[in-house]
Amino acid sequence: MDKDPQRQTDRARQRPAIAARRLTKRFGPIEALKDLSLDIRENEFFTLLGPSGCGKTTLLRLIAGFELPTTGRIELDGEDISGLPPHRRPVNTVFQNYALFPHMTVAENVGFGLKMLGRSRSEIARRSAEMLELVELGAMAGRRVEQLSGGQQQRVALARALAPAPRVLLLDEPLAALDLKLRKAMQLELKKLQAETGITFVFVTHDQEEALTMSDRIAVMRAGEVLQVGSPAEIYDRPAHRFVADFIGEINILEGRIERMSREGHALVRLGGGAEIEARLDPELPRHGAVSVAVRPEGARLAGAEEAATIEGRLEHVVYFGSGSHIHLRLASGEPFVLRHSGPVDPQHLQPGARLGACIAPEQARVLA
Amino acid sequence: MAEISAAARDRTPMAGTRSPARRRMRDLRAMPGFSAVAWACIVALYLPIVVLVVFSFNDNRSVVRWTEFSWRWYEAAFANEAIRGAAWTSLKIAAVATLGATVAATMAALATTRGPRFRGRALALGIVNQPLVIPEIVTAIATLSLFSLIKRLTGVNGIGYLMLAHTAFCIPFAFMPVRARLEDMTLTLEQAAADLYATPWRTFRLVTLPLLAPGILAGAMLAFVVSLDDVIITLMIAGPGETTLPIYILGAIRRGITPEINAVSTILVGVSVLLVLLLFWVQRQMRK
Repeated sequence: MDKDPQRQTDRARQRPAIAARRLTKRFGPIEALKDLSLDIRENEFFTLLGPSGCGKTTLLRLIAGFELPTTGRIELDGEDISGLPPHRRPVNTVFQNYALFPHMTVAENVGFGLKMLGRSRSEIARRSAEMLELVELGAMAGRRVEQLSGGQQQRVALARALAPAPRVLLLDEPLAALDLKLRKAMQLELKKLQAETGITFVFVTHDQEEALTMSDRIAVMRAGEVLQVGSPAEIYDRPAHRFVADFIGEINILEGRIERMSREGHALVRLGGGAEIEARLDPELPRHGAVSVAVRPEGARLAGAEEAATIEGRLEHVVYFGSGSHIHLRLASGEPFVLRHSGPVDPQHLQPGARLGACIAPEQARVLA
Repeated sequence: MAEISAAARDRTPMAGTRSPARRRMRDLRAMPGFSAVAWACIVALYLPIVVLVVFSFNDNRSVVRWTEFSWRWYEAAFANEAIRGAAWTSLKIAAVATLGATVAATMAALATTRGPRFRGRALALGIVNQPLVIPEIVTAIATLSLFSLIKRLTGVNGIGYLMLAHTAFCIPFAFMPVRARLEDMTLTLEQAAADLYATPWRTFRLVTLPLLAPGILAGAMLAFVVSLDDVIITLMIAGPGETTLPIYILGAIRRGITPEINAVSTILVGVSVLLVLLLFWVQRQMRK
């Protein structure tokens, strides 16, 4: 028996709460999920991220039981639940448009799940009040749903789904309908709720910023497949796939050819315009041939007057966004390149057509698979 | 080739907003002669009814010459045993037909919108709505033939046949609002209930049915009015002594129009209008 509590929780975190095993879902000729396997760990905030039509919502609906898989199975705590109807799965859903029952009060909505589970009247009342307190809507218990604002309805939907203490909470783009400010506040609130309740959250979104902010781990999906699973930092810094690099945040992708390896194990890549760039290369990737090099806008900086620039280009325009600017260059190869510049920009640099150099450290450039 | 991701992605074209001038052009009310046509329609539809109602209060046997206001024809109508009997028959038939048709229509609507897709679903929809397009006289004769056959085979007679016939032709009228309501209701609410551990039966009872209630009520009222007003099928099917109000009126005017008939007709109009108003009110509630 392991006495170290830290290692014990570590091990609990390793056990999958939800395991998708070779899931395929077809709607007629359309294959929404293609032989998908995935582990969602106990107690984590897990996000399914991808553009619309990538199958993320289908996967969520399969876990909830609204759809049945064509092939493959879904396990909850090691138990096959693929064939169970939704009302026999200990998972609850927060729907995109909330789906609150319009003919019931707020309290009746929140207590619905417990009532269906056959809990006593007093327990339902106590637990509903507790849940409404948790989402700071204690005073609204007797209101009708239509009397609430969008943000309040959102929180009622959350309280309703959390009240029966599900094994897993599924959230289908629940913040999409809220305005930006409310969305930011709800992101933090959701994250806090997840930590407080200790319930596994599976969150679906197409908003990469939202995914990076909230998640313990993210699965990036495209066309029914999972391209990469990892922590936000892993996904952002070490995208395993060109699509992932492109989808998460802004990124420059430059085409070139590996010339040789440096002593530090970096690849020296000759770019289209003739410049040479030093970039990180995963050991399992080939050390030669045509490659793409990815550089985040914040991974490059303007070269000083006497400094040797990694790449050079002509200034196209500058986009100012408050905490900094994006400087858009056109490289000799014809490729566009964006770099992030914080602090004031030298007015003489602002002349469109001016020749500017950018410095890129080897750690900031990465050869894509 | 190099690419920058997010910059280009968010550039969606602005949706063109319609100019006020264009909107005015599309507004039918701005067309020449609109109000003349509108008034002509209203007069054609309602002037006869106005005449009917006005002369029901005439203190005179004539229905063309006004003398003085009076309730006498209403008193006469209420005192008339035959009219009271016919009204009672009409109500009994309408009540049974409304109940039967609404239940059947609700089940049909649920099967065609909520059940699993089945072969011939479009055909089923067509069959339910068919009575609306078949000429009523054809339905009447067909029903008469069938019922005569059954009567000869079983020897059973009675008002039940009339109730059955009314139930049948009321179904499409009850079906339409129920189905419209069901199609407006997203499946998400029922899924939410199932997600919160409600069995299919409890989902139906606690979520589907309460939300469907306005549609069912609208369907029932429509069925009631249609049954109450029916002449052709009733005329064919009704046995001796099974006289409904419209049939009584039809028989009475053969002996000459009297203001008493005007009074009965006015009451029928009043009941219909009341039900239609109620229907509007219910539909307003539905939209909330």
